[in-house]
Amino acid sequence: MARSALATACALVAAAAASCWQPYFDPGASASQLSASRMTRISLLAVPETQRYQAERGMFLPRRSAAPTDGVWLQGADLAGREYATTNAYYLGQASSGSLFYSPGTSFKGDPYGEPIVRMKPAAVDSEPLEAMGMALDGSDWAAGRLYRPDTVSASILIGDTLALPTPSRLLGAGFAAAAPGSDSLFAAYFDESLAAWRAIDGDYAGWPLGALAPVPLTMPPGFNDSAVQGVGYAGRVGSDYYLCATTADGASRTFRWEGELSAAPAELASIKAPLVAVLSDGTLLARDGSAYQAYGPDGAILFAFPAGSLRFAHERYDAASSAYRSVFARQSFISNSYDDKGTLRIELFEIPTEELPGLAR
Amino acid sequence: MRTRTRARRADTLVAAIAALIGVAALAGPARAAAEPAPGQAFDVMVASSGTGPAADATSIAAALARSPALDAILLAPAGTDAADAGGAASAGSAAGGAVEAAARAGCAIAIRVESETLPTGDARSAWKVIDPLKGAILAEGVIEGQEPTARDLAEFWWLPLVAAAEDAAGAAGPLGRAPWVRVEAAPGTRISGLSAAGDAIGSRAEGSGSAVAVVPESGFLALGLRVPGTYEWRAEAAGAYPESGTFFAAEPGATLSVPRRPLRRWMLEAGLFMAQYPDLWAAWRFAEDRFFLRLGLGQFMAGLYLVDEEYGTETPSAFSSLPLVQPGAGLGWYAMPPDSPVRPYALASASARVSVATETGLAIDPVAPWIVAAAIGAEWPIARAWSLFLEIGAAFYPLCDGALLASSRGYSGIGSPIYGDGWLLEAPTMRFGARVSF
Repeated sequence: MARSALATACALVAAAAASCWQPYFDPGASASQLSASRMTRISLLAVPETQRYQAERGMFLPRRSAAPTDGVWLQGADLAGREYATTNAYYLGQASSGSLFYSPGTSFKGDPYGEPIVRMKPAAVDSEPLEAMGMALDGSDWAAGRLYRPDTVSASILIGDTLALPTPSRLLGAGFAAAAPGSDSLFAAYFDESLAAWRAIDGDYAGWPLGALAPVPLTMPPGFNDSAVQGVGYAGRVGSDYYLCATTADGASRTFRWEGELSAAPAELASIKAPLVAVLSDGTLLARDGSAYQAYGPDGAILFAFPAGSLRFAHERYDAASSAYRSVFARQSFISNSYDDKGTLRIELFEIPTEELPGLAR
Repeated sequence: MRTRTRARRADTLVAAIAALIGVAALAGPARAAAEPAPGQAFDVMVASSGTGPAADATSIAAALARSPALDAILLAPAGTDAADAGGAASAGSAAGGAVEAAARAGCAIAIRVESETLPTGDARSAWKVIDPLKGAILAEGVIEGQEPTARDLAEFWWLPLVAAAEDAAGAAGPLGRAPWVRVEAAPGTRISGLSAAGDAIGSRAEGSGSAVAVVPESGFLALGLRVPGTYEWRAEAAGAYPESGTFFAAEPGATLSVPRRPLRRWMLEAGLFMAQYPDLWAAWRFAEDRFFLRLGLGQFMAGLYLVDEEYGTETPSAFSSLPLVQPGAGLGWYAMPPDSPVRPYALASASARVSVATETGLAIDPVAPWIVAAAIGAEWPIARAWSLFLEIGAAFYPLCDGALLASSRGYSGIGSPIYGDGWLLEAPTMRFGARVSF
C-alpha cells in the first residue's frame, strides 16, 4: 500500500515537473564568452520590459565612441527568415525601456536575405546627436540615406537626405570599412541595367553631408552570373584593395578582390568559403562561419579563427589615445521575466585592439 | 516506617486491587507477555492454605502489594497445593505445586503460608519465602496472636512476612530477579529492547541501567529476562545492517540468534533530473552506512521536453538535447539508519560544466564553469537491495557571468533565477530515481 502510494506520488511529481524546464546553457553564449573574456567590456545597456520577439529580431549598432551609451536598434519587422526586408529603427539609450517599441519606429526596406547595411558615423562625439548611414531601398531603387536623431532629447530616429543609385540598378554588394581616423570607406558594386554594365561606388563617409557618389566602371570576372546571386553581399575597401562577397541561392559564398584597379578583372579568393562581413583597417578579412569568425589575409590565406557565438562584429573605432583601431563587438541577450512574456534586453559591448585579434584564436 | 506505610495506604490498596484483578484475568501459570522493562521486576507468587481469617490469600497479597520493593503479586492458581514445599522445600518435592507455578510464571520468589486457628482461639500463620528456581527456603517464620480481624490483617499481621520478602528482593539483587536468556550475536553487537542490559553477564554497555547490551568476544550474552515474555529487540553491529525482531522467550534458557548481514558498500543510482534528463551516479557508503561519497555524470544531451501545444507557435520536439555534461562528486548523509522504512538524507555535490558543443569544442563552460548543488531527499527501500528516492534541492553557480547565464536558459516555466555579477542561484530543483546497492 505504502509502495503504491509512493509510486503514485513519484508519478504525480514527475508529471507536474516534467516538461518545460531547461538547463542554463546556451552554446552560443558560451562560445561568445570564450572570446569576450579576452576583450574589454566597454558598455552595458539594459532595456527592461521588452518583449522577447522584439529582442530576438533585432541588432544593435552602438555609437562609435570609447564608452558608448546609445545607438540604433534595428529591428526586423518582416517574416522570420526575411525579417530585415523591412527594418524599424529605434534610438536606444541607457534610459530606454520596452515602451520604446510601442511606436512603430522609422521604417526602411533592405535586403531580405541579409542584415541592414548601416554604419555608425565615425569618430562620434557623445554629446552630438546620433548619426548613421545606410543603404536602403527607396521604392524599388537602392539609395544611400542618413539615419539620425534630430536632437539630443528625441526618442526617435529619422531617415532623410537620400542619394539614389542610378536606376534601374541591381545592387550586388555594399559596405563600409575603417579607412582613416574619422572616415570610413564606402564601396558598393551594382549592375546598371540602363547601361547594361557593372558599376561601383567608391566613396567615403565621415558624416553628413555625403560627398557625391560618382559611379566608376567595374569589371567582374568572366562568366560571372549575377542571376545566381541572392541578396546583397558585403563590399569593402581598405587602401587600394576592393573586396566583394556574393552569396548564391545554394548558400555558397564567392569573394573577389580587386587590387587597386576596378576596371581590371578581380581575383577570386577561393579559400574563403564563408560570407565576408568586414574588412578591417589592417587589411584582415573577417568572414562569419556559423558561430565563429575566420580571419584571412588580403590574398585570402587563412590567418586564424575565433569563436563568436552570440558575439557580433559591429565596427572598428579609432582610438586616438593609442593611435590604433579597436574592433568593437556587440552581444545581445535576453533575460526572461518569471511573471510574464517580457524580459530584459541586455546589450554588452566589447572591444579589443584590432592588432590583438589573433590572440582570440583557438 | 509504619507511619509512611499508612500514609500510602489508600494508593497501595488501589494498586493491590488492580494487581489482583490482573492476576485473576491472567488465570494461568504463564502470562502472555511481560511488562516493559522486566529487568526491574520482582514478582511474587503467594499460596495460602489453612483455616481462619489469616488463610485468606488476598490479605497476604494486599499486604505485599504495599511494598515498593516488590512488583506484581500473583496468587497461586487454584488447585495448587500450598503445602507442597513443606518440609523438604526441594524442587522435586514442589513438583506440581505453588513453587513450580511460581517458576513457570517467572516469579522471583514464592511465598507459602499455612494458617490455623489454635484451640486457644489464637491464630497461627507459618510462612516461608522460597526461591522457585532452586527450591531453597530463603526465609521462614511464624506469626502468632489473637485471631486477626480484617483490619489487623491489613495493618500489621503480615508485616514480618512482608519484611522477609523485601529482604529477599534486596538480597537477590538485579541478577536474581529473572531467569536467564541466551543471546547469540557477532561480538560487538549492540542489542537493545531486551531486559536488563546492564545486567548482562560478561559485558556492560554504557553503565548500569543502560538499555543497550554489547555482545562480548565470546559471541553470546546471558540476559535476565522475565520468562515467558515477548520482546521487541534491535541489534546494531559494525559493518552490518541493523537487525530487529520480536523474541518470544518461552522458558528460561531460550536462545535468540541475531543474524548478520554485511553492509553493502557500493551503490549505483539512476536518476531523472527535473523529471527530464537521466543521470548516473556511483556511490561508496561509509561510517556504518550513514555517509556516502559519490561520483557521477549529469547530462543534457538526451532528455525529455514535454510542453503543451500553443496556438501560433511550433510545438518543440518531445526530446531535448543540449551539448552539456556535468561530471561531479558529492557527499551525502543519511539521517536514519539503513533499516528505516524511509531514510531522509542530505546531499551536496559539485560538478564541472563541460560543453561539448561544436561552437566551443570540448571545454569547461566559460559562462558558468561550476555548479554546486544541495538537496534533501528521502529513500524508500522497495526490495532487498533496491530503493527509490526523491530529492528537492537548489543549484548554485559560482564564478559565473550571472546575467549571461540567466539569459542562456531561454524560456522556462519552472522557477526564476536569482543572480548577481558572479553567481546564480536556481531553486527548486527536483530529481528522482532508483538505487541499487551491492
